[in-house]
Amino acid sequence: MDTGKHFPHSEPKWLQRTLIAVSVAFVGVLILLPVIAVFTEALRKGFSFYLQSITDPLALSALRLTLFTAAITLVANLLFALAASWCIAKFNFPGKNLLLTLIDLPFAVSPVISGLIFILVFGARGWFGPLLGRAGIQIVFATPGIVIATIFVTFPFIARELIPLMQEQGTEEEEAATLLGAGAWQTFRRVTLPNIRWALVYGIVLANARAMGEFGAVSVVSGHIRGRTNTLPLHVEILYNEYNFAAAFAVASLLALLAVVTLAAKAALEWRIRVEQRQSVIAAGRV
Amino acid sequence: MAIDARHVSKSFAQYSALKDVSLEVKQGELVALLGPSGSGKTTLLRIIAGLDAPDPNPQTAVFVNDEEISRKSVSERKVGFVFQHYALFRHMTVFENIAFGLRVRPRKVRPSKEAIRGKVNELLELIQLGRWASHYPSQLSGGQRQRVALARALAIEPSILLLDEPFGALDARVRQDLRRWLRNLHAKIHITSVLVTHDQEEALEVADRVVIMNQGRIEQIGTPNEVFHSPASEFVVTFLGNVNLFHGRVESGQAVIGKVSVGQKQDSSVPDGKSARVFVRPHELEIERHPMNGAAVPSRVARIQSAGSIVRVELLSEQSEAITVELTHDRYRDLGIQAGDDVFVRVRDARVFVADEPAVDYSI
Repeated sequence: MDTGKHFPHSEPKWLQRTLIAVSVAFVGVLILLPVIAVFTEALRKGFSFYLQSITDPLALSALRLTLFTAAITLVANLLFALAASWCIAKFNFPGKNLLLTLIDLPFAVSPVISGLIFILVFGARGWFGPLLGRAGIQIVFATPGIVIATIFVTFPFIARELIPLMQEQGTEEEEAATLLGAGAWQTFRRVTLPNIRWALVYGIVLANARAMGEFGAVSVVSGHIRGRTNTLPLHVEILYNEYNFAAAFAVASLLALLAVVTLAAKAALEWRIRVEQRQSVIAAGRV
Repeated sequence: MAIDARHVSKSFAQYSALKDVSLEVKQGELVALLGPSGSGKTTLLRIIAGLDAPDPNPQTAVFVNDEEISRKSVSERKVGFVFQHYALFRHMTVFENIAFGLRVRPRKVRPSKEAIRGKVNELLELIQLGRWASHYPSQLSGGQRQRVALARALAIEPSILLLDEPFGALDARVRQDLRRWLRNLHAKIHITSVLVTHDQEEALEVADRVVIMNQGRIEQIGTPNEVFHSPASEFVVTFLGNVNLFHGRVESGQAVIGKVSVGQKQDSSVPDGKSARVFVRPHELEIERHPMNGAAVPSRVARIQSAGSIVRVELLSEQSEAITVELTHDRYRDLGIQAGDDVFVRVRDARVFVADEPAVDYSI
C-alpha cells in the first residue's frame, strides 16, 4: 500500500500534524498533567501518610456521604427522567416546551445560585424554614439539603439523553405492542426500555460523575460540618485551606479514582455497544 | 357487519380531518380506503383500531363485530394492525417479533412455549421467511419487514386486519409482488381487512370494495368496477387514473366541445348555456385520419410514446387543449401517424358534469 498517497480531499500533512500537536498539548496540559499532579502530591509524604489520610474517619465519613448522596440522586433522577422523557416524547400537551426549558434550567443556573435558592426556601429564615423547624426537620446544613441540591444540579443529565432518542423513535412500536395486547407495564418493559437502555446507562454515568463531584451548590447548603455534612469535594477544600496539602491531594485522588471508575464504566459501555453493532453487521453479512 | 362506523368526525386543533363519515365493512371483505394525503383515510383507520378517539358526538359510534369499541381498551380489542413503516420491535428477532402478541398474554390464556413455537413457525412458513427467524429487523429488506409485520399482526388471530399504507415505503416491483401476495393470503384466510392507500392501482387491484375519500369525506363507495366506470364525482374521475378534461357547454340537452357534440342527454332539464366539464379517459378516445360525420375534434399530434404495452399519443386540439390518447400497437401501425400530423380525435365514451349536477354517461 502506498502510504504517502494523498486522498483528493485530505488536508495537507503540515495541517494534520499541527492539529494533532495542538490536541495532544491541550489534553496533556489541561487533563493529564493535573491528574499526574494530584497523585504525585498525594504521595509526596509517602504511602503510609497517604493511607492514613484516606482512612481518616473524617475522610471516610465524607466518602460515605458522597456515595450515599450519589445513590439517592441517581434513583430520583432516573425516575424523574423516565417520566419526563416519556411524556415529552410520546404525548402532546400544553406546557410541553415550558417543561423542556425547566429541565435545562440547572444547566443554565450557576450551582452556587442553586444552593442559595435552597437556603432561601428551606433555611431557618426561609419560606418553609420555621415550619420545618417546628416539625423537627432540618434540610439545610444537613444531609437532605445536600441530596436535594445534588438532585437539582444533576437533574438534566439523564432526561437530556433520553428525550431526543425517544422523540426520534416515535410511538409506533408502543402502539404496535398495545395493539398486540400488551399492557402499559409490558409495553414499557419489553419495548420502550430495551430501545433506550444504552442512552439510559450513559445518562446515569454522566449524572453519577457530576453527583460525586458537585461542589458549588453542595458547598452552600452543607454548612461544612466535619464528619456530618462534608462530602469529598468539600473535605478536599477544607484540608487545602488548612495548608494540609498532602492530605488534600490524597482525598482528591480518591475522588479522581471514583471518576476513573465512572469513565471506565462508560468506556466498557461504549465497547459493548460497538460489539453489539459489529455482531449485527456480521450476522447481516452472513446472509 | 364486521365493522360499522357511524357519523365519525375528527378534528385536530383547527384542522378537521374527518367530517361525519359512516362506513360499513362486511365479514370477510377486503376494503380499500383510497384518497390523497390529508383525505382522512388514515385517521379513519386509526379510529377503527382505537388508536385515536373520534370527536365526542351522541350520534357517533364505532362497532367492531357488533361491539362498541370505546367499551374496550386497545389491548383487549384484538385488532391486527400493520404500519406503513413496519413498527417492528428493533431489538427483537423476527421470531420474537411474531411471538410477541402471544407472549404478553396473561398467564391463564398464554399458550405453552411449544404452542407459541409452533404458531410462529407456521406463520414464518406463511410469509416464506423461515430461514430468517433469528435475524433482526434491520437485516431485512423492506418487503421482508412488512411480511414480518403482517405475520406479527396475524399471530394474535385478530378479528379484523387494518393495514395503513402497508406498501407505501417499498419500491414499485416489490409493491406489486406483495399486493398479489396479500390478495392470495386474503383468499386463503378470509379475514375482514381494511387497507389504506393513496395508490389507485393498488386499491383497484386488491380490494373487493373501494372507498374513495377526499378532504375528510367519502366521495364514493363501490366495487373497483363501479368506481372506475361510474364515478360519482369529478374528484373520483380525476383521482382514478389519467383523464382528459374538455371544457364544453350545454346546448339543447347535449354537451358540446367546440363544434362537436358528445352524444345525447337523457335528462333534458339542464338549461342551455351552462358550462359542461367533459372527462374522457385516454383509452376512450380514437384517432381518425378523416372526420367521420363531424363528431371529432381536429387536433395535431405533438408527441408519441410507443415504448410500452400501449401507445400514448399526446395531441393539441384546435382550442389548444392538451389531449392524451391511448392506442393499441395494431391500431397505431394502421394509422401510421407521426408527430406534426393533423388528425381528428373522436370521443367514444365520456362522463359529463354540469355545474353541481350528477354525472351523466354519454356514448356516441
